[in-house]
Amino acid sequence: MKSSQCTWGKAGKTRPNAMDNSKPNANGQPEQNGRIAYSIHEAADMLGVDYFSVYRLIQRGKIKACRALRGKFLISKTELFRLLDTE
Amino acid sequence: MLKRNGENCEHAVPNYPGLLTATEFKAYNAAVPLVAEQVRLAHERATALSKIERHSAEIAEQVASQSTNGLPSLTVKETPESVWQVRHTLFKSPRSEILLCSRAVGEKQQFGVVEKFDPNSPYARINGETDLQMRSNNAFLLLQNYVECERGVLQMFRKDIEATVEEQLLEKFPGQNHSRVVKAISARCETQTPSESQKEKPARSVKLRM
Repeated sequence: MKSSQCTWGKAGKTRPNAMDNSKPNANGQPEQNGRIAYSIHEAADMLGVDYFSVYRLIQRGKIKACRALRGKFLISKTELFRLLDTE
Repeated sequence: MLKRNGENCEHAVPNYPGLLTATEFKAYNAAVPLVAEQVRLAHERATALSKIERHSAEIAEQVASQSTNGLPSLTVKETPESVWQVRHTLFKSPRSEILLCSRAVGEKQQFGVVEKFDPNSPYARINGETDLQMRSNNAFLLLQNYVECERGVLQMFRKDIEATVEEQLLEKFPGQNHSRVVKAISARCETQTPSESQKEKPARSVKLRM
């Protein structure tokens, strides 16, 4: 499983709320509003795939995911952009 | 009666062996509707997997003996590209299908589990609409392996449900220890309760003789 603990900010403090202020747009593209990571649910919507497909892609190492403080999987914006082939 | 934080542990909830206090029970009832859909999905997948596991020998036998004539085929984007015949649908959701496929390799048959995405999805448009998950010369072993991998996926999903519950409860009921509530909600994923809307009733008190 390609996942690791990831942290933001100082002293390894996680900031899950930093991910809660936007949603993907209608084209499934991540919005440029300062978000750094997305939940599996949001990533699935952006990619247009099933929830479980995203977990499968993580399990097989096709998507790199990290885990926030309480163990929630998050996918970074750059990783999503890579999969959507956008810059 | 057992007490925790000065409260009686008297509330039984489905699939959880312990008893919750009134405060925990209140948090539990607040959390259940928040993740009801995810719990339902987890249960649906777990049930489907158990069914595949139970019938894997029959499915394997059926696909091994079945003629490949007239079966739909799909092309898997790998190097080199390979064409597979669809033999059995293992799981279908609105956005993807998990298919048991086969192809001839020399005189032998090779089996594969292929995920087919919605061709119009942003992911499929860029990465291809099919993804070969695993392959084997033995359909039965392949199915067993598939079930094992999917259980791992379910475990990841369940961890996310637990994290969501904890996150929501910390917002709604700050300063409380929610570990038992999270465990109790997680236990709901194992086997579904008869009805999500059904209210849990407090358990009758049981006297323990020491």
